Amino acid sequence: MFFFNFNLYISFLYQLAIKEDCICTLKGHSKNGILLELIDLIKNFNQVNDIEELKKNILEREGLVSTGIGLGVAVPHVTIGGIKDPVIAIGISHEGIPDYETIDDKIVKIVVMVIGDKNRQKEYIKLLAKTVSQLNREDVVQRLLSAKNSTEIYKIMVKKHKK
Amino acid sequence: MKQSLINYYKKISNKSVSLIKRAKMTEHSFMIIVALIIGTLAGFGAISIRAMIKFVSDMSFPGISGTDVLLHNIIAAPWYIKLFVPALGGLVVGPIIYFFAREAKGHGVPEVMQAMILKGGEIRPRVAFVKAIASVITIGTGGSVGREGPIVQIGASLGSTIGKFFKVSPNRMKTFVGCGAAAGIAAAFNAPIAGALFAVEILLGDFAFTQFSPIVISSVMATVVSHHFEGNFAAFQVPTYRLASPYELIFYFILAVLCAVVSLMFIKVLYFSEDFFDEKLKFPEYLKPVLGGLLLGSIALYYPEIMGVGYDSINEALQGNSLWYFALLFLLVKIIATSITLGSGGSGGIFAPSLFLGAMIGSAFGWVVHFFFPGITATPGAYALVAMGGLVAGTTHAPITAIIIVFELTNDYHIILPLMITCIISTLLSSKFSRESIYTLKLIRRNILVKNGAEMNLMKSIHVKDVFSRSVKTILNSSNFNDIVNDLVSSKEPALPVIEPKGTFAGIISIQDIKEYLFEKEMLQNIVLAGDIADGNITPVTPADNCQTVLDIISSFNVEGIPVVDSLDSKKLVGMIWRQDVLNAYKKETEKRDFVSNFANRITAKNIDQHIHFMEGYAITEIPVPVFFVGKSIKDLNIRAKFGVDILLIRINDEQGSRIKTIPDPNYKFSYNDSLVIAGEIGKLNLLKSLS
Repeated sequence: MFFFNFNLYISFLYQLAIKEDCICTLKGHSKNGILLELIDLIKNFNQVNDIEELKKNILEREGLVSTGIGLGVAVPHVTIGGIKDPVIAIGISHEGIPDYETIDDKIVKIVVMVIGDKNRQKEYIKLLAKTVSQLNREDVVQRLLSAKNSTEIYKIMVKKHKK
Repeated sequence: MKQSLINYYKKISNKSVSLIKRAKMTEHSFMIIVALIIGTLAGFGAISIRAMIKFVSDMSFPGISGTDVLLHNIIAAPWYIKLFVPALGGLVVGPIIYFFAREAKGHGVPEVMQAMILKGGEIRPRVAFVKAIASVITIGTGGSVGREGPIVQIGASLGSTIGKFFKVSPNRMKTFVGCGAAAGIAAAFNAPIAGALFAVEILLGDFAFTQFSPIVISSVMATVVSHHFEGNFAAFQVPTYRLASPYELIFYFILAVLCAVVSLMFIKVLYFSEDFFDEKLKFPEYLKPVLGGLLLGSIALYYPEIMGVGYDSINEALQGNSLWYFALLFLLVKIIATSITLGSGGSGGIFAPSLFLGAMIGSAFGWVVHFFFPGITATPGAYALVAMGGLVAGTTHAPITAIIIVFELTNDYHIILPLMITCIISTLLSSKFSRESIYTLKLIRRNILVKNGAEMNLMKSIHVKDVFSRSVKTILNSSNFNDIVNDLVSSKEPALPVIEPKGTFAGIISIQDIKEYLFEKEMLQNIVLAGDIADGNITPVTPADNCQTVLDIISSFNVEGIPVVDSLDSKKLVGMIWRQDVLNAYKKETEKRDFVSNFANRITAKNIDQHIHFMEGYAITEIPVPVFFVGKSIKDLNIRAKFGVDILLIRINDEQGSRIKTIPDPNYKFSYNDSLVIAGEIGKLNLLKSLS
C-alpha cells in the first residue's frame, strides 16, 4: 500500500461503477416502482447475486429516511454481501416522482442508485460522497435533464466539474 | 528422623524469615541477595552436571582411542557397547523417573513453564535430584539429547526451593525460578546475557518484566562460578567469523528458510515419536526407555556421531570438516535419534540437538554455496555457526536468545547482521507454520495454554456478565451524520453501538471511522445514516461468554470494545465490553489471588474481628462456624456457589488447642468450635456473618 492515494482510487472506482448500459429513462411514476425498475436494470449485469436481498435492503433503507437529497435528485443506496465491485445505476424521469420525499420539496427527476459491498464500508461511504458531490449542483442537474441519450448522461456523470 | 529433619528445616526457615524482617531490607536488596545465592548454587549445579556426565560417559565409552575426545571413543567402541549401553542407561533411568518424580521426564523447559503457570513457580526439590541423575545417565550412556534443558530445570528447581525457604509471594517466586533458569543457561554456555534473556523471553514471556536485575545478577554469578572452575572454556571451538561480501547476505536469507524447514521437521517428528511411545505402544512405562535405548543403539552402530550431546560433531562442522552429504545424513538421523530418546522417556534437552541440526544444515548449505561462489562466500563453518542460531530460533521461537547465545559464543560483532537475518526470519517462518514452539506445544497438548505470558485459564474464568459496562450511549440507526458526529465527540468512549428502534444491535461506529469521513461531511450529512456507516460484521458476545473470547474478538477485529447482546438469536443490545474492562478484571483477579495466598501465609494466631478490606468491595473476615454448617463438609454445602465466598482458612479449636488448616480439604466436616476465615464481596460476607 505504498504511495496509495485513496481519493484517486475512489475516483477510479466511481468511473468503473457507472456504465452506459446502466442508464435508463424511467417509465414509472411511483417511488417503489422506479426503485424496482432500477433494480431490474442492475439484474441484467449479473454483478449482484441476490436480487431479492437487494430489493429488501433498498426498501428497508428508504423506510428509515428517504434518500432525496434536494435539487430534484435522489440517491438510494445500500450495501449487500457478495458483490465484486460497486454498482451505480442512473434513471431519469422527465415527469418526476411526486411521492419521493426530499429535503427541499423539489420533485425528484434524477435517481442514482449506489450499491456497495458490505465488507468494504469505507470505500462505499467515500463513493457515496463522491456521487453526491457530482450531483449537488444546479447546472449539472439541468444538463442531465436536457441530455438526449445515455451516452451524454454518462459523459456528464464521469466528467470532473469545476467548482 | 525424617520428621526431626523437617522440623529443623522449618525452624531455620522461620528464623531466616524473621531475621530478614528485622533487618528491614528494601525489596530490592532482598531480591539481589537471594539472586546472588541462586546464581552461585545454580552455577555449581551446572558444573557438577557437566562433571557427572563426563564421568558416566567415560565409564560407558572407555578411552580406547587414546584421545580425550568423547566422539573418538564412541566411534572406537566395539559394536556391543554401542548397541547395549544406551539400553542399559534406559533400564536405570526408566524406573527412577517413574517411581520418584514423573516431572523429570522429557526436556525440562516445558516442565518449568508449567510450574510457572499452574503452581506460581513451585517446583519440588526432589525434581532437581531425579532430573540430574536421570539426565546424567541418559546423556552419559549415549542418549541423543542435550544437557542445557536439565541444567535449566535444576536451576529453576533450586530457585523455587530457595523461594519457598524464604516464604516469598508468587510474583517473587516466579522471579526466583527465572533467576535459576537464567543461571543454568549462563553457566552451560558461559554466556551471561543469553542466560538472562532466555529466562525473560522463554520462561517469563514478557520483556516488560520489572524484576530484570535479579535475573541478570544470577546469570552473571553463575558464569563467574563456572568460569572460576572451568576457566574461560568455550562451549565450542568457534572459527573466526568472516562476512566475505555484502552479497553474501542473500544466502543467509535462504539459510533462514532452510533453518525454519528443519525446525518444523524436528518439532513434528519429536511429537510424533512422543505420541507413538505414549499412546500406540503397549509396554510398561518404566521399560520404554530400554526399548528406546536399543533403537538408538542400533542407529549408533552405523552413525555413532549422533550419540550424546553431539558437541564434538558440532565442532567438526564448525571447523568445516563435514562433507555436505554427511551433514545432511546426520541431520536426518539426529532428528530421529533425539525423537526416539525423548519419546521413549529419556531425560534431556532439545537445545543441543537444535544446535547440532543447525550446524549440520549450515555446513551443508555453506559447502554448496562456497563451492559455486567461492569469491563472495565464507567457508562452511561460518554458515554452520549462523544456522545454529537460526535453528534454535526456529524451534524455540525465541530469536533474541538465539542471537545472543551465538553472539556470545563468538564474541565477534561481525556476525550480528547475518545472525539477525537468519534468526528472525527463521522464527517468523516457523511460527507461521507452527503457532507453538517446541516448548509451548507440549503444554498445549497437556491442555495448559500460554499466551504472551498471561494465563489463559484465568481469562477463561472471568465472565462477561461480571465485567461489562451496562450503561452505554447508543446511536439509533436512523440518526443522520451530524448527530453521529455529535454523539461520538461528546462520548467518553472511542466507539458507540448502533441499534435498531427495537433495541437490536446493528453495528458499531468508532471515532476512527468518522474521522475518515469528516472531509466529506457536507456531502454526507443528508444521505448517510448511522445504519449505513455502522460496521455490522463485528461478532457480539453474550453475558455468559468468557473474557478470553472477548480478547480474541477484540484483537481479530482490532477494536477497543465489542457489543454484549442478551442472546445471539435476538441480538438485543445489553451493553458493551471494553478492552479496559477486561484488563482491569484480569488485574483485579491476579491481585486477589496474590493477596489471598500472601494473607494465608502471613496469618497468625490472632483472631480477625473486623473486615480487612483489600480491594474495592472485597474483604476478608473471620466468623464462627454457622450452626447449620456443623457436621457437614465444604463439598456438601457447596459454599462457593451458594454463598459466593471463599474459605481461606479453618481455625480448629479443640482439646489440643487452636490450630489452623490453611488449605481446607473439601471433605473436612465442620464442628462447633471452628471458626472460618472467609473472603469475598462485603455484602455476601455480612450475609454469612448474620447466619452464624
